[in-house]
Amino acid sequence: MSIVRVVLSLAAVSFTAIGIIQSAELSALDVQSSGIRAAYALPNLPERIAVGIVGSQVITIIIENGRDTIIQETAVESGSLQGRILVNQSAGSF
Amino acid sequence: MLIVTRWLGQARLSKTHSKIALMCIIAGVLYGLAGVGVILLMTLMSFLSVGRDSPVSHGISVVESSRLGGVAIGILFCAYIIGLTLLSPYTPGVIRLERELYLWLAILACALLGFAEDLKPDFLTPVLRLAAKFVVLGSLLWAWPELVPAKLGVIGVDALLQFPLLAWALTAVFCVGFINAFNMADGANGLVPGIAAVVCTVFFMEYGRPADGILMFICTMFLVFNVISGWFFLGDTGSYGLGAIILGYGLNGVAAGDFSIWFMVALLAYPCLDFVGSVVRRVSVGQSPFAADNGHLHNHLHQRLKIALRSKVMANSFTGLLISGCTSGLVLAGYAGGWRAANSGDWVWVFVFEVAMYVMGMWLFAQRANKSAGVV
Repeated sequence: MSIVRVVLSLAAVSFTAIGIIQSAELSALDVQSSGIRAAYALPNLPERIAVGIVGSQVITIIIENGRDTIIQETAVESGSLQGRILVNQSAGSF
Repeated sequence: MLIVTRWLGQARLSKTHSKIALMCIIAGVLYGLAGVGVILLMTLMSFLSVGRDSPVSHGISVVESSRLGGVAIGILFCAYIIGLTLLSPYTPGVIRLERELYLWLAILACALLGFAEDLKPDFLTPVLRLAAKFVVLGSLLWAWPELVPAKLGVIGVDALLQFPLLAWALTAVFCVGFINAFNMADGANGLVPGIAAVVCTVFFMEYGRPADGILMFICTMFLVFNVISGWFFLGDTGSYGLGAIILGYGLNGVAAGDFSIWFMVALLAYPCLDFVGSVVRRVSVGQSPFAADNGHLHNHLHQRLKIALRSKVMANSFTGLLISGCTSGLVLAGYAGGWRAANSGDWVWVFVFEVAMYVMGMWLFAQRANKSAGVV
């Protein structure tokens, strides 16, 4: 293998690793402060807590109707949004 | 971009080095080091001796290339998903949801079928391949029956969908047909990759799922690589795998009411129209509907562009970009610009426009071909 290919391989692996770490940091931020329109369900938590966003407002969602894996009705716990919202079925299915 | 191209030319780099440099610059501007890493990885994979494709065997390509583009996309997607799972609180759907597991198993099975074809062409006979896809996708629909649409708003079809077994069979046949159509349309640089990048962008804009974000990123990078270099094709792994992903999430979106059927049809108009058009064209002249030919719209358009453009790779890439841009790109522009919501039925008019463009294009090219051949 030529030295050019070795250098290219090392660069490709390093840059891809950097990309993955950056994405993980962004994803962690998303879970805490973004989430776009999705509700990020974390099933390993006992109360099935999900985090999501409505507009630019970060919300924490506790799934009350936990009969199946689809988030159907949620209670908004934090942020300025109080009360109940109906989350689109597809929000939990990413 | 022109300045960069001129600078690369003045630096007396070889054509190969210039292309790599240009792709890295575009990737760096779009996605930073992560983008450059993907381009370098694809460059290395395109040099591998396995999965080579000679110019004569692939559509309108004129350079020797690799069919392992789908494998590269699969490796990168898995690397990012595993990385996110290990390094962030993200939990992939396949771990949390049983039905997502079924979907991704079906996607994996379709991609593996394609992979076998990429490594050894005609590894399975066409009938066996169709049967295998039917079994895989039929099993998925059986395990996740909500994917079978209950109503499409099309008179006649809706009546048939009321019978569960018939609805399942019709949807399974449609799924197999769609994946074949996606594979059949993969005949020009940037055509299917462009459509896939647009669809993943729409999915990401609609749902914000990390997996869609990763797919959008990788498909965009693949599009840049495919269009500029022409060294890498999706291959059967890519067209079957990406086709199955788009099919699964598209059906789920329609079933959930997030996308209207007409939005999805308009978004994926070219593979569907090309498939139906090709089958009708071949059957009308007594050929097998699955026999390969050069009568596709992208073949005709490429013939015209080849005369107008000096570079053969550019003619190939312009063909793909023009078609994907005027179909899926148009829908993305309408969706991003807020013309209509994705679940609106008004997208039917965009589809009607696409059908009219396709029919007109085919008619015009047929007229020109007849004139050149001296047929009155």
